[in-house]
Amino acid sequence: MSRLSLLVLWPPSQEREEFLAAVGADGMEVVDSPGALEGRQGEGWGILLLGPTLSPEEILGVLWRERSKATPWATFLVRREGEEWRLWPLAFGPSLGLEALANTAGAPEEAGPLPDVNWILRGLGKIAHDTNNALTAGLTEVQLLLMEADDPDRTNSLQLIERQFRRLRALAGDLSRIRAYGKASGGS
Amino acid sequence: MAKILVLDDDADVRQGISRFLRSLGHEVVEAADGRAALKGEGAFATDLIITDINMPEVDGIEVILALRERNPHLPVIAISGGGRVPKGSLLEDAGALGAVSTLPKPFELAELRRAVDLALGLPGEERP
Repeated sequence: MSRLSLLVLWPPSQEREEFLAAVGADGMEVVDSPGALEGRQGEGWGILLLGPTLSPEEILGVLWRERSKATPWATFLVRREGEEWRLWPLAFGPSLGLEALANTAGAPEEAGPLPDVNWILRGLGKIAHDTNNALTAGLTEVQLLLMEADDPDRTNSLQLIERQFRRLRALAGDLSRIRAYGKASGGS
Repeated sequence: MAKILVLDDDADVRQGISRFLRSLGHEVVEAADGRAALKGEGAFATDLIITDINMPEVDGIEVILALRERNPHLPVIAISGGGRVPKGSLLEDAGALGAVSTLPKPFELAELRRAVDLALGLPGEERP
């Protein structure tokens, strides 16, 4: 099973060493400056931790570059709060038109209550179930084709499709685990 | 060669599983829901039943209960798209009711074959 990449972008400092010592640096890559992220496009997804001594411009620059990647890093700002290290999620969402400002201004009166957690959990369950069925049909078909394939190029193509189905299976598994966690936490 | 009933309301899943089982040399009968499967004696004249759990009207749990009543020795493999949720799932219920194997979707064909061989008492690598 492939491992989630964990990358720390943090200029050298005593605080950085204390953080690394606190979390254990095994399997974690540490880089000193945003320039080290250049050219790291298609390496798959992972977690990127940004040190608190980066300037706002550097942080914005990293987020801006990540926004266009097919598989951007899940990015967090590390901050020490009292005795604890805390991770603050950072991300650019999709761009919005100016009308979004007007919509947001009217939101308190117009928007209904937030969806019920149980409704969300049931929705997740339905999505996971339907996704699992679709993946079963797709994975079965590609594995049947692989059983009959005798041309190396065709076999390679089918194996690539099979790998993508397995990646999607892992994502569907995440949905199921989120739902299971929600149910275990009192949801239905 | 064994006669196997494949019961799943998702036609693509059902047909894919059936094709695989036929490629192994088994005879396959398909049904799209529990009500159709339990109508008549067809389901009980098979060597193995592979049933989805989440189906409209008569679901896989009801199928297993009906089979247990009529033919306690007929092996059942339960499959479900509910995912690999360890506790409290319908798939777990199916196992408790006597399904010889439970397979969370999406499974590998190798996993399905192992479950079928186990249910039919076939050695692991032997083709029917």
